Amino acid sequence: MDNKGAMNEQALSVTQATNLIKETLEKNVNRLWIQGEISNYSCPASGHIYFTLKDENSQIKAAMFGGARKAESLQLEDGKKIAIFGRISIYGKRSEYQIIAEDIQVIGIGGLLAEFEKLKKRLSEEGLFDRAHKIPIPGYPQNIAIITSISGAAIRDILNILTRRYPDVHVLIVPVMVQGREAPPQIIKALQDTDDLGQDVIILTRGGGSIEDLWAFNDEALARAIYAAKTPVISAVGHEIDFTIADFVADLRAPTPSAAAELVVPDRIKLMGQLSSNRDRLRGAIDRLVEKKHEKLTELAGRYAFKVPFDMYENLSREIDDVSVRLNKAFNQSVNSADDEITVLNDKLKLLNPLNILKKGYSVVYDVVTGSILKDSEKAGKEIKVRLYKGTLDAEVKKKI
Amino acid sequence: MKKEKGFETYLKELEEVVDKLESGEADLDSAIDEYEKGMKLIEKCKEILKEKKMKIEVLKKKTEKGYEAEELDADEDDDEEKGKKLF
Repeated sequence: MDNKGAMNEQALSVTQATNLIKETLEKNVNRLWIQGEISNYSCPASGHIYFTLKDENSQIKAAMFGGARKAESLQLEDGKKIAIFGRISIYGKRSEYQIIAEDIQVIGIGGLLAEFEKLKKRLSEEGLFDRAHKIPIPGYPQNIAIITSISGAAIRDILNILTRRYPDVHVLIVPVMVQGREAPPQIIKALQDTDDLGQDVIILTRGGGSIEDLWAFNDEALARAIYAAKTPVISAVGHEIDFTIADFVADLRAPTPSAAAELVVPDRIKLMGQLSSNRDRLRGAIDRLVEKKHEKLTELAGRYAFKVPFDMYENLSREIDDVSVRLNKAFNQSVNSADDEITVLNDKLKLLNPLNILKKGYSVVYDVVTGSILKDSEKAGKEIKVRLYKGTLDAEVKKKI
Repeated sequence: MKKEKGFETYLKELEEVVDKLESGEADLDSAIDEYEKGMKLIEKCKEILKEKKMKIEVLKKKTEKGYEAEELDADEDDDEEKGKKLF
């Protein structure tokens, strides 16, 4: 093209020239961030948005296809300072170049934060954060789904703590991207899929990062998906100081991924303690029960001792043996059974059994004449005395069988 | 999917047994039954807590019946080796 002498033969058509410029520009200028102020903003019914981005000296045209939703959430308007991320494209017909935006962020002091606060306020007013809507987290979940990056620090921390605290769980990892443009739709789909799988609880998590890194968790559609989930959702995004929209709408916010693991399952060591105290209570209760019966026996023995024939104990020896054997077995099966406890209880049982057997509905029959215990119906006289647990009966023998 | 009588159920049963026994209403015979039951429940609970193996799966895709997943072995003995597979 430098050769001016051959101009006529080498002249390009307008279209050819445009295509050449288009190709050169589109090939050599990578996607880039550009910041400036919006002017000539328009949002036609097509759902695309068009505007000019300008600073003091220059301006550049920009468009975002399907950008209407985004524009609405960012409340774009003339004069607003924004940064757009996109590629250069030539609109051939007019040979105009423009930026096709893929992402738009509001800038200025706390641009992101302002956006965050606006969304937070709106969703809060709509009731998405209401306490009444929070689903309680089960105390002993068996099935835990974790939506996170498979290669992140968060999943490693959580699995470590679960293993240490309470391994009797079934963990389902649902891998997603946790930052970038792809993240929110992926997380939303993962959440919706997992919600149908009968999980006891879902943990939505990622490790720490910059405010931009965590931004996926401030997505409005994600907030609505969390709100809609029937399974309780624990959100654990970044560090303690990081709050995201997901945290507010989730059923429980954990300050860190590790904390989520600690909140979601009980502590094995504490439970072991709880078991020990239950074991002590069991032993204490049976001790007190035996003690109580023993006192009652002593009291009754004082009243009835002279009436109880000595050989009654023979009849009861089998029962004593049975109960002793069972009690021994019970104590041996317990983990830290102490021999002295068994001995003490056996001694108490021996004292206790004559009473026990009467209480169970057995009775003792005496011959009225001889006053001795009847063991054979043939030897019974006309009149007998029946001793029950409470009181005695005078009775007549109708028939001997 | 795991939906079985878990720790929670056993612990609840255990606490019921302890409460019943502590009320002192049971006669000695059934008290020993309750005691035995309680001790068995404690053993069951301890077994669960001692279980070292946690089941870990990675979701591949959701299906009509449930889901397809790949199981990860989180056995403590070869943590290192399997750990590489995951991370």
